[in-house]
Amino acid sequence: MPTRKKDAVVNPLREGLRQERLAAPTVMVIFGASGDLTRKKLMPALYNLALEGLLPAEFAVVGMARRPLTNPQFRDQMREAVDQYSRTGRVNDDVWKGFAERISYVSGNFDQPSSFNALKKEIERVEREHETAGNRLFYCATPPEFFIPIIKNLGRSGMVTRGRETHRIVIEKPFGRDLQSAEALNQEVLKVFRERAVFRIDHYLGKETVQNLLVFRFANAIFEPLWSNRYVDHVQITVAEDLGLEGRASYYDQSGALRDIVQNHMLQLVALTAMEPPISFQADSVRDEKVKVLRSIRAIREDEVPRLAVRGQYGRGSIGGEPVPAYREELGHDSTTETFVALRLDVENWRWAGTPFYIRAGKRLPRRVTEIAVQFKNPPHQAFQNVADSLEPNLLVIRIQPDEGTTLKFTAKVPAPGMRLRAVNMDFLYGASFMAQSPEAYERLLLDVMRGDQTLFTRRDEVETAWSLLTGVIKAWQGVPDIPIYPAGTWGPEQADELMARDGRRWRHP
Amino acid sequence: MAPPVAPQLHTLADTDTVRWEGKGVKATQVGARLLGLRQEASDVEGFPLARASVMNLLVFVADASREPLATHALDELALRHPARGIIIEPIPGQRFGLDAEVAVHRHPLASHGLVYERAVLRVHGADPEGMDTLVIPLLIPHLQSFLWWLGDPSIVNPGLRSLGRICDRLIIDSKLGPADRLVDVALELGSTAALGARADLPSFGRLVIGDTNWMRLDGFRQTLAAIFDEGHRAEYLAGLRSFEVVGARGLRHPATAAELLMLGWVSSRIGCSSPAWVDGGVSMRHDAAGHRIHFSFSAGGAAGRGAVLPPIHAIRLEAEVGRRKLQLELTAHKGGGLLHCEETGVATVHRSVPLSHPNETEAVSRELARLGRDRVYEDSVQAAALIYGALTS
Repeated sequence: MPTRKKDAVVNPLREGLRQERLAAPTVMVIFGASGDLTRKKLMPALYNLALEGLLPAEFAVVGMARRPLTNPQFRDQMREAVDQYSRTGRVNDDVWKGFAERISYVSGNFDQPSSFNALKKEIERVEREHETAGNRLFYCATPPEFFIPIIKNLGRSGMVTRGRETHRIVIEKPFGRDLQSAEALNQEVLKVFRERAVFRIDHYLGKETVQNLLVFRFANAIFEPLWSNRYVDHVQITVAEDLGLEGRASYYDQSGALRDIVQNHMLQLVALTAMEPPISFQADSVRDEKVKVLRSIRAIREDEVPRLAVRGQYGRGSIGGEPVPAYREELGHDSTTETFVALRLDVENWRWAGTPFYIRAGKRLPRRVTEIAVQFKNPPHQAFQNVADSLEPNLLVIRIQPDEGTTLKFTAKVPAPGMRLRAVNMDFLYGASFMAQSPEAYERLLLDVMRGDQTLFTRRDEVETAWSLLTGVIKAWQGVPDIPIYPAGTWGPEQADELMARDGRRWRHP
Repeated sequence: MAPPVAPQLHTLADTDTVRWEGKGVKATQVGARLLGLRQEASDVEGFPLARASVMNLLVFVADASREPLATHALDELALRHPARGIIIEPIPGQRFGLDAEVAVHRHPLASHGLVYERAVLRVHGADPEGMDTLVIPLLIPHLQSFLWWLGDPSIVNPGLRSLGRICDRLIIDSKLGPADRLVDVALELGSTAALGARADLPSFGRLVIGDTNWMRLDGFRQTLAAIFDEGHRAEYLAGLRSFEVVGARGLRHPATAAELLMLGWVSSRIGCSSPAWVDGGVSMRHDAAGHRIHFSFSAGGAAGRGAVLPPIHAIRLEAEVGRRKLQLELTAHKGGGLLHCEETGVATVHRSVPLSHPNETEAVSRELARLGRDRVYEDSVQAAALIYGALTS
């Protein structure tokens, strides 16, 4: 029997089906439509959703950017992009034909109101032609300096409101440069959009393995009892890239590793690792718990930075045996932007007090790897006295990328006369147990936006809390010309090792 | 159109295989050979390969003609559901005898060497009631065991009950038997529910039942649900007046299990009871609204030219909410679907819609991916059994 849940009538036929509710009819407006994000991520993701029948029939895309392009030119560019970057390979002509008919382009400047008048006309035309029922989704895929002009112009043009509600907006990272700018951006956004219509995207949360972290912790009974300061000695989280600037020089030099990776991806991983079980997997239940644990992290004060934070910049070195230039050589000028950050974070709550979280992120490290390593304490009494030196602590490693999976390291007896012990691994590999392609993070996240599910998006207080944790570090490093240089292809500057050594610990070399 | 499960990354051509076969062997020998072959299969450095099995998958093939389907499906399934696959094929005869083929496959692209195993047991003169004792020595302990029964899905079959005792999941194909087999399934599910909490429950009572025929309806169910997600259309489900299933069968053939399941699904989802025979079908009372709904069957031509034909050709329905009326027809068409919809105050809709028709492997794969009970299926089977009872009373 169809039942009413608030204003919506519940569809009883939906119960038990594998596929959740389809996305609502929508026109999606992409600001920055000629940029890399649109070509490499957004358009391939939309095409794959179309390929899998997950887009509603009444769906359309309007791209907007400064470059003057006709609709056919824009469609051709998008087809090339999908051919090149889609996980499903070259486009299927039939699917593309139906999809491309729903793509159009408007050339304009994001800070000129007249451009938004033209955009409004185009949206209204598309809505009529494709019967998109008035749902609009605005996607800011531009450099961050355009976020506020776009939002203000959207507000002025009257394209945003729909009765007492507002249409949805997706805002890419970085969401601000520090706490103050994030607060200012939030204020501007919330003058025009309601919080429940704002989707601050961090694509890490769309990764299957990151979502699996929640499943791993809260759908298994055997790990959660050990998941506290009683048994865990410390946690190490690593986000390592072997790449250098790769065409992102101007953005990266303004941003640096702290803003580019730590404030968003890494603190999200810390939050998911340390949070308490949510009462449900509804958006606000999960986000409430993440905010709670972020608030439990002691913000690093400016005077504590030398002891709790390390930054570095890569110099010349080699990756995979090939010589690579220094950061400043790639950039073409002098710079004190950090390409490596390591922090010690203390989560001051009942569960984690006394168990530090060490996090590090960097470019031009020896290999690309993202992992969470939970190192357990040694047994309270050592019965194997004469072989105690060979004992290694138990370790649980959750690999986010690549080789997604989980490894549990434990000690076993070497089969031989006498008592010799050795650490052995028990491996779970996603690739071995699920030999199927995972959807791209952006596919999952775009579908969630269209369905109005904010679970995997960051809330205002979450973003601001994350920035507040780093305010002391940002201030301490601002304008300081000395930055440790580490050779490319190593695990960061010596100071990072010293950060751990002070606590009698050392970094893993994953 | 959506591939319902993400495509495989690699094909079976990528795998390496080691084999063994023997005639007149014992089950324990087969188990030993499985172990031996796994030790022989090693990676490039000579280390034995890790086994990544997530289940034991028993496949009962009622006759030799179904063995190729089972073998092919097991090979395809292995990459999505790494398993020890055991195909059991009974061969009529007076004296017991066991012929076996065993193969262990490795996948070079899986970094630690994905291994899946397949044993084919051809059992001469088998005692159906002792079938479980043949298989028990071959099961990987502590893994869930699935039984895919590729034969008449008679729940009272002694072979099915014997193998069902050692399994956690039973996957039948209600297409392979007369439609009244659904009544047996419904009774089994009913008794299971009634006995659910008893400590002395016979092992069969714990068995979760699935049906590949139900999975073949998945596309129709998904698409119909999506159609009623749009706008305020879900309101019409309370005002449903008639619902017709057009079976993909000849006029002279009786209504199939798939057609019964489809009517069972809709009637149980919207809350109907008290079926009574009427011309062409049954009439059921909408419990909340009080009015009666006409559920009917008819026959239509083969649906489309796709490689996989859906078990039903079309559905048609009529509904009323106040003065507003809805007439809707969803037809299988060229590997997808065609929707025709007339609604008061709304422009007529006539368009293609996604409508997937899973093949045999896909249907089983979807069942294997489900570990818990499928309550919607169980409700639908119970309702289908009621409808069948009204039709034949």
